[in-house]
Amino acid sequence: MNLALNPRQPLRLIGNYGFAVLMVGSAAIVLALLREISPGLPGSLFFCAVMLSTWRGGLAPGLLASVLSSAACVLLSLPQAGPEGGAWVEVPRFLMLLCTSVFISWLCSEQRSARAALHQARIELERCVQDRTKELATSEAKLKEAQRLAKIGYWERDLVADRITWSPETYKIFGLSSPLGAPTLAGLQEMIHPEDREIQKQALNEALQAGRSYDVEYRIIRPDGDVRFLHVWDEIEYDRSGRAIRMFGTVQDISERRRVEALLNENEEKLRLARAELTRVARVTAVGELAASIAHEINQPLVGVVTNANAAARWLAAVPLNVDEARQAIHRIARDGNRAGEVIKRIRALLTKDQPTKTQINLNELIKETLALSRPELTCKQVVLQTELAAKLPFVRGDRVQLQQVLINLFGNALDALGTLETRPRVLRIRTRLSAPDTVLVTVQDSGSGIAPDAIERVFEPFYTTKAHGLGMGLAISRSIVEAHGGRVSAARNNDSGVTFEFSLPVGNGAGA
Amino acid sequence: MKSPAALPSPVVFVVDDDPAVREAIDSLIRSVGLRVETFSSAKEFLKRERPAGPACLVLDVRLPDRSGLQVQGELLRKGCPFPIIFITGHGDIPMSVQAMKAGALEFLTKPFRDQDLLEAVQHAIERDRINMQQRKELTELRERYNSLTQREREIMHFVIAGVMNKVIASELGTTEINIKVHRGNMMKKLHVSSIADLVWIAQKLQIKPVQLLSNNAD
Repeated sequence: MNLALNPRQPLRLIGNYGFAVLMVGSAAIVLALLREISPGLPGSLFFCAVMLSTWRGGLAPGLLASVLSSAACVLLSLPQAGPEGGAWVEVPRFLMLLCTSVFISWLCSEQRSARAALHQARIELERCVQDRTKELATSEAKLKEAQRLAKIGYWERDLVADRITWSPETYKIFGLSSPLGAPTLAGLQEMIHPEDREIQKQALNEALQAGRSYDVEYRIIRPDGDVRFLHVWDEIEYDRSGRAIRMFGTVQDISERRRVEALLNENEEKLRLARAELTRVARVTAVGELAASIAHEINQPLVGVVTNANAAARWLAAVPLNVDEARQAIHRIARDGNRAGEVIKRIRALLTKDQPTKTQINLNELIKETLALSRPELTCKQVVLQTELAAKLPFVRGDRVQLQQVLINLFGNALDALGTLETRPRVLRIRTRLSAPDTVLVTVQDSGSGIAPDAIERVFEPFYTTKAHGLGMGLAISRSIVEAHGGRVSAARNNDSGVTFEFSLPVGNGAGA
Repeated sequence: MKSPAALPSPVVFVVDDDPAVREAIDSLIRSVGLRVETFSSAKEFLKRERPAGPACLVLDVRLPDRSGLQVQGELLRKGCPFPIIFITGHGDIPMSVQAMKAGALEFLTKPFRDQDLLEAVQHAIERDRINMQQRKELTELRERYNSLTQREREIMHFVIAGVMNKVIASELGTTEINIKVHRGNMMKKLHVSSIADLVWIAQKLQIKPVQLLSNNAD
């Protein structure tokens, strides 16, 4: 019973109690009247009053009604009972009536409470349901939006009934409209790009039979002719006997991603080519500038040496002989010669400024990587590439950058030799093998125009070149690098045509070169 | 080496920022008996006043403060150009062409052959000697010309145009006798005895002959 105070409560209370009084009063009157017609009628009407009062106002009015009813009942029966015993005879009767009425009132009030509670509960429930429904609607809207943004659709396939259900986004992905309903499996497979149908069938079979997950990418052709890339990912539901009964999952339109990936790959390729070209140009420029700088630095002391020598000769041939001047000139020769030596020392230090970092190197990998850099040139010059890289080639220990430089130099020379070849196929053969238990041998052979017999011994000399615009340092530097790694280089003319360059390196053990 | 009778001994100037080169060239040129003066920068060299005797300049094209070609220009501006032999450590073909066009005598790349340098130096000294001689002669001629009177000069201009005394007289409003007298003086002052020589001097001094309006050849 709610006894919370509010402004309207007093009014209602009065109303309830008033109603109780009214009921009892009415009952009394009616009973009195009825008793005129049929005396001895029981006072059950008062019970109605009590019940009604409780119904209307709750337990308190009900109790009031009980008391009043009991009193009224007794009072009404008084005239018939007679005055013997006086009023006290009626007390048990009054009490009996009262108890019964109270009991009835209590029962009624309980029922009333229950009903009120039920009503309240129903209101709450309805509100709850409304809230839930709203939440659900919002949630569904969000899901739909998410699907739309990610271009992911949901689908379900009942394997037993061969029926497919789609979410709205799935329809959109397939370019169909929902009123038509989802196609059957056969219809769906019709939409798949002919080249990818096999892939899809295979994936499906594998998923259903081998129990693997169904994760496949294929292209579809929309009704309007648009080709889209799809990624489909389903889970399979099995019944108790292990039979697949349902597949449900997502389908995503990844056409955009595919397009971007292709673009990225293209750009990566371009970037790699550009980087290789840049490296090559930087090296060539640096070497050119270095060469010019070297030439100038050495020229100055050289002038000193040559001119002083000639001057000394003249002083010694002069009449009269001037030994002192000659001696001074010779002294200057020595000084300038040493200066030239210092220049050389400085240049050597400059060339080896980057301390070589020793690591374990897989020569086959390095060769493949370096060939990849040269791939454009290989294709452009239509060179046939033959590689025989030994399967289990041991690692060598050395500086990766420097060894790659050697490879670049040898490949470059070979390509230059092959570039102008007309009469024979242009073949570049690269081979790695173990020539001795502790020695790895790399062979670079070309079918080019070759080198003259007397020149072949000089190729590794600094500044020796057979090219019009060559510096002649490449092979000299390569030899220097290989020998610094504990290996050897060699060059030989092939029996048929072209030249073979080889270099050997010691096998690198973990304990250090 | 012959020492010229009239002029003081020749001198070779060497300008190069590298001391080794300077010293070596100095020794080489002295070993053939020529005087050498070395400078480490163009500024140093340009401070030196023009020597009395013939001279030439061995100059490195690339100097720290200014280029060899700039030095060449400066010498011309100062009015005392003498032959220049360029030496360079860089094999600059375009620069060598430029230098030769500007009047350099020789362009040698380091390291040069001693013989090439010495020959170039000799050639340069000789060239400068000749130039000096020519300058001296010209100065003399100019002095002589300046010693002529106004009248004598006027007459000279007519004579080298091949105008006859009679016509000159009428042009100048004087008698033929006068003309003859002045003409004689003029020729004496100029130390010439024939019209041909007179014309030659006039050309040297860049004197233009008179142009008569009414020419005899009508």
